[in-house]
This record gives sequence, C-alpha cells and structure tokens, in this order.
Amino acid sequence: MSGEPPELSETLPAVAESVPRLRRAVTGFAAEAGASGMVLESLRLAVTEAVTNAIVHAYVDHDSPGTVSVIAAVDDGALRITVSDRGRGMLPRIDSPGLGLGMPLIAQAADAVDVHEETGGGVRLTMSFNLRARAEAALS
Amino acid sequence: MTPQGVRLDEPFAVDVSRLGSTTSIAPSGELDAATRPQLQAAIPELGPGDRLILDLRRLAFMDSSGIRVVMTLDVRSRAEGWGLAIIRSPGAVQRVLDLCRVPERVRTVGDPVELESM
Repeated sequence: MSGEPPELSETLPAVAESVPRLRRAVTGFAAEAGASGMVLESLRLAVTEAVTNAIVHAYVDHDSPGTVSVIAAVDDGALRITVSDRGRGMLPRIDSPGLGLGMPLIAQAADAVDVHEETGGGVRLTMSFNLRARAEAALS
Repeated sequence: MTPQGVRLDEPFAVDVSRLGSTTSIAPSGELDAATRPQLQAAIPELGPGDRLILDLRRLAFMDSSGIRVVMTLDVRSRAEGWGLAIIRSPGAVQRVLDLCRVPERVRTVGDPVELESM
C-alpha cells in the first residue's frame, strides 16, 4: 500500500466508441468512492457531455482523431473529474454539428466547473461533485 | 439497476413496431454519441397523418445526443405533417428532457393510454 489516495486515469482515442467506455470507468470509480443516487447520475451526464465535446470539436481540423483523457480523484470530500484533449482549443466553429447543450448540461450537473485552454493546444475541463452534501436539486 | 429497474449494462437496442399509421420506437440501454446513429437509422420515413411514438422507458441513460434526435424529429414532424410524442422515463432520462425543456415542444406522457386521444 502506498497510502496515496486512489485515482482513475484513462486515455482513449477521441472517437464515439470511447464515450461509453470512459463514462463507465468514471461511474465505477465514483461508486467505489461513495457516490450514489443523484450524484452518480449527475456525473455520468457531465462526463459524457465533456468527453463528447472533446470528440466532436477538439480534432475537427486534424487528419485523424487524437486522444481524450479522463482523470478522477477524491479530494476533501469532493470528486474532481478532469476531461482533457490536445486539440485545437476553444476556437469558435461555425459548422458545429451539435445543439450547444453540452456545457449548459455540465454546468447544471456539476457543483463547480473550470475550463482551461492549455498552452500548446487542447482544453482541460475540471468538474467537481460534492460527495458529502450534494444538493438534490442539481438535476431536478 | 436504476430505481426504475432498468439495467445499466444492457446493450443498446432499438425495438420498432408499427400498428396502422402509428410507429413506436423503443430504444433500450444507453443513448449517447456512440449509439445515436443506431437510433437514427431505425426511424422510418413518415408522411401526413402518421404518428411516431418515442418510448424512452427502457433507456438507462441519455445525454444531449438524445435531445438532438428528439429535436430533429420535432422539426421533421412539423414540416412533414405527422405527429410526434414521447413516453417518458421517470428517472435521469426525463431530467435531461426537462433541463432541455423538451416537453414544451414535444407532447410527453407518462402512460401510453394518454396517447389514445392523440
């Protein structure tokens, strides 16, 4: 035993098939960490939207898809989940195929959200979910 | 299992049935970017007087990919003159529909009996 708190770290190709795989990985980790009920429902939705955003937008100007990474860890009673890519960053896109619902749903589902554009390319989105006293109103 | 008794690990599938002018489409499992094409492929061509019922009671999960399908069907139904209704699921799937205010656009019921007057 190293004494280090458990952490989930997964990197997969930025393709649609990775969406359920990463959602299930995070769901399993979160359940082990004590998340249940509404918290689990909320993070399943938020992670799915964040991973899908990376897949749809990050590598649109690349010849082949890059990767999307998810890191999850428990810190001071909160589950923090980071979804990151190494794509084009937060550039506007006039040919967006989505409805623009991803970020609003993430904001509704998570207790806190931080979006950061990486130097050198890519977006890092960090979401926090309070495991102790999560407001039941988050998705209601 | 969800509180509604839907299995989270159920593979995605789409059941399609037709009775007269009514087509019912019932996806099960998890609807996301990976499975959306499967649902879209199951939607038939419809014309004036037809109706499509999207039965979401067997869905264990849905994200905005599902909202995109519903909103596309809503636009099509209005343009092509056929009816559209949703049978809702009481859990997380319905909350996503509510957050996106879908019931304000598309008739949404809890019990198929309510559709008899549609």
